[in-house]
Amino acid sequence: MSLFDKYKGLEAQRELILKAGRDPFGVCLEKIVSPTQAIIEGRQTILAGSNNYLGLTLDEGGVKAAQQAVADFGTGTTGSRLANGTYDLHRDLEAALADFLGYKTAMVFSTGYTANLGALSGLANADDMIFIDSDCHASIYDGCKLSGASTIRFRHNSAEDLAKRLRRADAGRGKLVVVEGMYSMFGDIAPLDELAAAAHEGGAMLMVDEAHSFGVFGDTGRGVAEAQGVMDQVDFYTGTFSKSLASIGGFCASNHEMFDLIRVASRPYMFTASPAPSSIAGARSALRAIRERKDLRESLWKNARRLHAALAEQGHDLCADPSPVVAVRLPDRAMAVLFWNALLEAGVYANLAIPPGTPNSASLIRLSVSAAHTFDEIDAIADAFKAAQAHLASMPELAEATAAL
Amino acid sequence: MSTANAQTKSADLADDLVYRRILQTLEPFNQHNVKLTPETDIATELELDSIAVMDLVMEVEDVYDISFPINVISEIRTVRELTEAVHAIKRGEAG
Repeated sequence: MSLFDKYKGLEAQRELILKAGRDPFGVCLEKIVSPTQAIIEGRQTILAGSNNYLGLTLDEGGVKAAQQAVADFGTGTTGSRLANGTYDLHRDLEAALADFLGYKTAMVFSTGYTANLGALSGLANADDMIFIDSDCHASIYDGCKLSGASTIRFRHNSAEDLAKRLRRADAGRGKLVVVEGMYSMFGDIAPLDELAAAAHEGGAMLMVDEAHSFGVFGDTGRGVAEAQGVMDQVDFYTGTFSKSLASIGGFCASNHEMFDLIRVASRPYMFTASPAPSSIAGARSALRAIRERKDLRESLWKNARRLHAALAEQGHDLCADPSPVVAVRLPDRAMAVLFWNALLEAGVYANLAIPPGTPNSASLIRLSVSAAHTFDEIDAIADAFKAAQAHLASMPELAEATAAL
Repeated sequence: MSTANAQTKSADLADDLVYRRILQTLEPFNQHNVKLTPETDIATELELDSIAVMDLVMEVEDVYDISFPINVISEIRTVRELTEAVHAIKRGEAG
């Protein structure tokens, strides 16, 4: 038996996907034109699936700060946070994040993925229980696995189901509940007020991952927890630099007096090099922009509502209320793959999300809106949907040919 | 496993109430009308991805007011194993 035998099904699916056109999971951006446009296959293409919510990746202040950090501190730290990889820059960003969010401590990790891995495996072990929303991101599932804790899924966004599962649990064990602010696939929002109440009544602490909602929701950009007025009920707040903060890295913030001990207990914090100086400087600059430029959030939401309304008017099956993630449900995997190809043909890059691994085995075209999109770009994205729909309707044999997908 | 052996083993679960209830719960997930026996491999024979298997287990959990840790679910392959896992957790042996 070969190591790769287990991938035979995956290989067959991949071949079918390639028959339908391009490789949706191997797109190359040949040149970045702006935060919302890139050259793909030699053609200028609108980016409608980049999670660049505030459009700050090419912000003048951020680029300058990152360039200066490279000049002053070098291209990489070559070390773990625990050894030679903590610079003034990392400390300063941790202080700024803690101050912005209103927590005592914030801890910077190398990616958003390792922030969840590091926080979860640092907080819980095999003696503990973790309760996760069924739609949580892979980094949360993997963090639970790494922690060794008994991990129980509860029904998506159901405080009632969470309460029931907490009641069934052994009273003597440490308990952590993990949810997200906005869920990345459908763009739907958690009822954090209800979930926080259920968690605390059930004797658990609450972790909220605001990866997609930090800088996007709330009056001052502190996420869904701020928007729902429950910041003080979130025991551990995790996030990423690779969305609104326009960089790469991640963080976890908390008021717990022993939280800092995780620095010497969490393997994903200890056994990887710290973020590069340029990444930290870029994130620091974007954090300043989140604080000072409310207009970015206003533009983002105007764009999100405009796109949602246009696609709803075209009769598409949208997965959630207007938010910076607009997910369009297609009838099956084959249609989603064909639709994705037709959109790229029409000059729009979107994300394709197909089973396995999507909530309720849904097949989706997932769009993320940016504050940097112009209304013309938003309208062009909506027009591309119209064109893709018409293209597929005119070629029923296409759908038939890929029905095996 | 030989067919004869499988049939003998199915007989021992035929009157098991948990097994029968699990068969009912599996039906909506059985889109290709696979014949369900104790030895049916839930993920591969019903063509369910790992998330769909976890969703199915949630239905079983609600029937018996129990919760399976994810690591227990990932080790369950057959209907028999799911049945035995429900019995074990009801006896307080897992979780």
